[in-house]
Amino acid sequence: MSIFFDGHKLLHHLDRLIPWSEGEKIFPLYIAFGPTSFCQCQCVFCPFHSQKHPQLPFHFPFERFSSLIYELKEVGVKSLFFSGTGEPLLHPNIYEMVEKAHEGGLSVALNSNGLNLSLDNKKLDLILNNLDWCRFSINGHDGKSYSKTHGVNEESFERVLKNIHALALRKKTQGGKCTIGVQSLYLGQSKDELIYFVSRLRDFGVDYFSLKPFLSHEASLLKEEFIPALDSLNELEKLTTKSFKVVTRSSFKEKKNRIYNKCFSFDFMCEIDSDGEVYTCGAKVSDKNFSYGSILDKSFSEVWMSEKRQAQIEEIHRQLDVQTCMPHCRHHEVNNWLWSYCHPPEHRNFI
Amino acid sequence: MEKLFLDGTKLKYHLKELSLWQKSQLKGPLHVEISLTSGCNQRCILCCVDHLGHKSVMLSDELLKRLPRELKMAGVKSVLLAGEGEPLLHKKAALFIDDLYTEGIDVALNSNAVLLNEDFCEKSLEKLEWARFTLQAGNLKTYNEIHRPKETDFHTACFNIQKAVSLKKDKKLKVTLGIQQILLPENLAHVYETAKLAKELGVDYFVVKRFSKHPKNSYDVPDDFYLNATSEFEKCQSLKDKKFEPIVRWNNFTQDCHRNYKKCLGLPFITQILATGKIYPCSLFFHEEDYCYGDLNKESFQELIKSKQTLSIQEKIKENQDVHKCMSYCRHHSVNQFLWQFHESPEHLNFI
Repeated sequence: MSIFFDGHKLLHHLDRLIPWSEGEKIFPLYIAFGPTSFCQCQCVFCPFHSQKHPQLPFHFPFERFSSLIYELKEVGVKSLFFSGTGEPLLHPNIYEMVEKAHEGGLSVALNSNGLNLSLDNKKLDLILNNLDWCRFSINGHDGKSYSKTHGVNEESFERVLKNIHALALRKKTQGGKCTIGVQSLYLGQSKDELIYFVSRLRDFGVDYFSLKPFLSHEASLLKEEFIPALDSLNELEKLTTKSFKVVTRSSFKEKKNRIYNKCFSFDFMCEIDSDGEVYTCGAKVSDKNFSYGSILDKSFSEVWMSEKRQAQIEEIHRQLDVQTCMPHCRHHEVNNWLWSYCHPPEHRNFI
Repeated sequence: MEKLFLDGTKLKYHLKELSLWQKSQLKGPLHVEISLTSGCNQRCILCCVDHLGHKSVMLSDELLKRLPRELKMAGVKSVLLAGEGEPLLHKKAALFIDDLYTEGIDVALNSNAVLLNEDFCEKSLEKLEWARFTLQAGNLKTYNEIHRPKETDFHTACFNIQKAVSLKKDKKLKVTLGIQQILLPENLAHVYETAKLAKELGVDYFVVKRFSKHPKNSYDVPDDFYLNATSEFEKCQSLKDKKFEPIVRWNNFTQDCHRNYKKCLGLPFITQILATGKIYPCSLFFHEEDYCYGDLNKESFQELIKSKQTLSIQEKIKENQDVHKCMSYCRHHSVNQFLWQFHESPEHLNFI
């Protein structure tokens, strides 16, 4: 298994990159999609729970979803990532959506807190057969710590582990292409707590565990910065086996500087919120200045190719100081690459 | 001047060719290094082609005439005049540069600058993208010890470089001029001195890089001894200003030529033409008949570079050559580092 966490995979899409480099208007390769604004958690690190999901929950209309998938495939979108401002598994039609997206020809992935993962084998199979990967966000090593971070009761911790265990077991017995991962933010856990938790995941048959630095978003309530001891990261990585990988993200070790001052990656990816608004990126969801418009009453292509979107991007390029954006955001690596591509050094023909 | 980039590959700026390579449809290499001659007016102790004996052969008049067009037809974008000898020993170097330039191919020159006379500079400097001169030391004694030259060479080289710089300035030429030193025990203590001399001569940059040993040569330097030069390297940085860039190739020193790749994939992008008119994949295989792509005296470059023989040699090297036994930091190294991501792609490619 060669999973790749740090960096970008843009160069594997030269058929999109080349037209872009020649100034053509292109459709995005990757879309993060929020099926619902609803979430039962109140995670301390979440930038959304303070703004969005305490209000009226909004589920993306299922009837629009089918036609959307068809449109996305038509224009060459390659992947759809179920995530967003809420918990995707709380959408009443989520399993059908996952299946539709996959059947429509997209590569599909899911981010979830895992609390509502169904134990029904049929549904587990839908996950395992339709998703390329799924990643569960679990922060804590026992009921108490989990409850404190996610803002749910203490029993939830064992429930989520049971769900993930069931999924991993199902994969072991029935197969399925889906890579199952668990991700935690580093929020000051001790080495022993991490090792205890990660060892349990390994025994479950999860494919990987990833530890990621906490990135403070302007709307997050949590403002602290946590810096782990590098040797405890190394210790943790030693839990890697042939069938289980432990990754501590490279951003723990190196500062990810922004060499760019414009987000060129807007052309390659975007975020669709549960209310149908198409945003530049996840970090800007709910800021209308960063919405290209809604796909509930227009086709994706209309929104994407509209003059409004062009004008808006130009305006964002003029106004936005990217250094004030959240550090190493989803677009960061792609942006760094695109920027350096657009600013070649001397003598580029001497490869 | 845009920024210089010496510590890696620039292949990512050639997406179309990259895409053609992925489909095995690349017409020819992007970069060709040409030896105008195998002869040299010096006998540097570190010379990469020492084992070949420096027998002086010149690239024939016919090939000089034919090559620029043929290279262009094969899609070559840049040519470096370097290889196994001192390019300026060839009387028609300026003419060749002129023809390459006329074809729209970017040309660069490596030279010891001893024969860099005014006539050549007048004709050719404006047609070069860059020229890099080798000065292994900034003082006569050490220079003589390493270059094993004529007694007057050090002064002649310095004088010539200075003249080239003033011509560049007078005519406002875009050519980038640089001086390179390869770090050896003999010149370890003199890095700053060479960099300072480079700045005084007025070139655009000074670069110090690591020595790379050809397995058939005996001269060698210890791997980690650059650590003794770090204070010299740091001193060099103090010379930096708007017009002068001191460059220490840190990646090249510190990474100990870590090869993330297991096969040499870069051969289709860079190739070598020797003064005999024969084409080789890289300097490791110079004059090894089993690795010769073909003879330009018999066929055109376009034909040879896509011939069955060429493809089978490239395949043979790719499949059989243990890259860990190749010269460290060979010309294909950083290209290979870059290309490996396409050979062993990660999972979930569509999630960019």
